[in-house]
Amino acid sequence: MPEENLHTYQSFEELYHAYKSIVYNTCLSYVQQPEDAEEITQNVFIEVNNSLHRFRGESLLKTWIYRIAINKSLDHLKYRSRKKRFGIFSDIFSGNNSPAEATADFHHPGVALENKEKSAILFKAINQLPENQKTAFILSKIEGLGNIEISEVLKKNVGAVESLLSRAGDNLRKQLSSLK
Amino acid sequence: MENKQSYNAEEIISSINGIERAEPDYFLLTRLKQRIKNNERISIPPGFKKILVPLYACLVFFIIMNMLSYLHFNNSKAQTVQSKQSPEDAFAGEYNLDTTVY
Repeated sequence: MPEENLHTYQSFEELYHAYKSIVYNTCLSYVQQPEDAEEITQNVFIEVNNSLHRFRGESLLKTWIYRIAINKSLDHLKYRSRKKRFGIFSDIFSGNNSPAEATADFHHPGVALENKEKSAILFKAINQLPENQKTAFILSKIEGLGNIEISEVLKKNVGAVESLLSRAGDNLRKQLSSLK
Repeated sequence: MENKQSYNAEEIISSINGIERAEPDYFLLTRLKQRIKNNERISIPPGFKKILVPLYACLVFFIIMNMLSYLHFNNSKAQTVQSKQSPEDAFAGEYNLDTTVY
């Protein structure tokens, strides 16, 4: 578990090693593509490097980095859906004949082998959740954060986080039941 | 049937219990450092960044104003050219007279 004090990190490299796993996993849960997750992880650390001098320590460093990772991932998803929507036009103008985006099953490398298939279905369902519910679910079930930590990341009260988690669970159950 | 479906959904949701963290590529740090280095090389001073937006807005405004003024003066010039008639021609035109000088 990384230290929470900014001054404990002597160099950017140390900071990277302390948070790389958190950032990469958060991004991977959102975008569900290892290459994209690595690209966003790079963007997150560049942002951290550029704005570290502006970090006032009002929240924990971990919370701040989580927020950046979530925002960058959501931005990437928006960019991807925009690209999908206008894919036909851009393909015509750029002469690119490849499909806009492959939507293959995502197999998280950290899931046990016997659960791979089920988790792929779950990740597909997570993709359909609204942004806030998706974030709350990922932070709680995949990142293993407590409700208080999630409330700090989302800047919401604990009650709101509980409500988001409950609605996310209901929506997932509904979606998964309708798959049958 | 409903119970079975609900059980299956629960089973799917619990499939990520005990999920382990994935590690990014070993060379990601090297690539990241390179990107930071490149960004620093072509970085714009922060003060200049603040000036860029109003500067760009002014430039666009200036171009639009120039285009509008060009269109405006061009049209009025065309109108002037159209109405440019000698007084004799105007008189002759009004009274259906022939202006040919013999």
